[in-house]
Amino acid sequence: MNWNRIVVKLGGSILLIVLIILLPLGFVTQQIFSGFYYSKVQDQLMDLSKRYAESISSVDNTQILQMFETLATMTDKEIVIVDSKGKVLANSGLPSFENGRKVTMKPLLLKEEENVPRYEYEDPLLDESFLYIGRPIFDEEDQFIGSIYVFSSIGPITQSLEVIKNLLILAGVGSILLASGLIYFVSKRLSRPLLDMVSVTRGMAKGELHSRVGITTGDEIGALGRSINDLAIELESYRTNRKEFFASVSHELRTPLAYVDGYARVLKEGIYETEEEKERYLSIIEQEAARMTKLVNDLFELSKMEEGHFHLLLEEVDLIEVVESTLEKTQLKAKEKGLRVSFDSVISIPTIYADGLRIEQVLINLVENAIRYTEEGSIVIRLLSEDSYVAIEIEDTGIGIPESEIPFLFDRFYRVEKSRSRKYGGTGLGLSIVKHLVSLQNGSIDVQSKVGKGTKVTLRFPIYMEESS
Amino acid sequence: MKKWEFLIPLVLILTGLACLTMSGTFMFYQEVETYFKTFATLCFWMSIPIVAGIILYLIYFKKRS
Repeated sequence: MNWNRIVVKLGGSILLIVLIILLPLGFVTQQIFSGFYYSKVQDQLMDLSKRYAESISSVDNTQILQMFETLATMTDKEIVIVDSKGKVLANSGLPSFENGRKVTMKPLLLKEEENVPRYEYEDPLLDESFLYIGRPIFDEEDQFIGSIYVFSSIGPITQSLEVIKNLLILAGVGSILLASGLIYFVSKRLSRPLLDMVSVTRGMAKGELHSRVGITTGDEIGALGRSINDLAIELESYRTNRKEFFASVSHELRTPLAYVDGYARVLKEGIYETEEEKERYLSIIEQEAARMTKLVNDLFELSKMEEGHFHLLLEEVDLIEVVESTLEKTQLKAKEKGLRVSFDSVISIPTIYADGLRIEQVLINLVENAIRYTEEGSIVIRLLSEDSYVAIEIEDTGIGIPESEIPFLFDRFYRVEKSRSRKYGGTGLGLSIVKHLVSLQNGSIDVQSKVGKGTKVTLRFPIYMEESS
Repeated sequence: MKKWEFLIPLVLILTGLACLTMSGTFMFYQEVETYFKTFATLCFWMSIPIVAGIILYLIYFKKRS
């Protein structure tokens, strides 16, 4: 049996507490019983000795002494009467107190009867213990003439106490067994959720990420169970994403590699007719190599962002300058397609706390996307101030995106139409990088689009406050 | 908990109650009736905290729902 289990530890601890309480309780109960019995006997002795002492007026009268000896046998108590010098005058049956023998007993009890100590005497000849009380005897002139000692055997008391002790032990054993049964049941119930969690987490470690902990309680164990379930969901999502990621990366790399491989072989084997044809093939190889380089760079950047190792140079940024710089860098591409990129210029706009270069990277990416998917019309960039935010709008008159596709736009390698990938270029990671960069700078991104009419992307960043730096 | 797992605590509880009953009836006149009466009284005392616990749980559960 494995003792290193939560049921054993929990049950053992509770049982230990029960024992810690039960054992002193048993001792106290035993003390109460013995105290009760002893005090009852002592009260009897007090009462009896007092009455005897008061009724004896002379210790010289042998008839009176004999009468007391007889009386003692009737009351089941022993009596010893001694004179003022301690010589035994009468004895009801204790062999150690022979008549005429001088005895030295404990101090006699005088008139006060409160807080009487317990006097015990063990008779060596009878091998029996007695409780006793001694009283002084006074004559009619109040002269001390002797003492009377009343003895009561404590044998029956100790026997009764022994029985009580055994019964208390039996009751204690019963209580421990009863407690053990209840503790076993409770420990099992309490530890079951933990064992469930162990089973589920072991399964998760082996790759069974679909299994969940079935705990519905609202306590700390329930919270732990929910955390494990959340972790399982997160891991399952991570595993799915990883699979999709590898599939996408291999797909994205396979296509340009196939081009490079094919055209490189054509060139190696000289299967071309003119120098122009050769130049065209070389140009394709160069483009595909550049495409792969961009893909690898984008992947590297994205992984750094996801792992939290991406450093931003945060400062106060004037968005007008950033937008103007973006316009300059994208103007050429727009002109090549016969498009016009305009900026609804404003005199002033609140600054934001961000990395200027990264904001420009975001804007260039979005504007290039707009140019890529717009065949005719224009692209407009606007800057707006809304309460505590600054908004940047990039609106185009392009082909648009179906509404159902919008939630997935920022997923890695997601393309609205797979066929578009080669026609429009891009690595499929641009918008994912944009989303991460915007989030890292406390911003948000929103897309509104209508197929055939165009797309509007809105970025929002909090206005720069002195304390936010 | 499996069925046999209920058996262990059940045996322990019953043995414990038997010990307590024996202890409670030993000083009295040894009669089966006395034994069962004491056993029933013990069960009654034991059930008080259980019933109290159930009532408190139901009150708490009702409050939550």
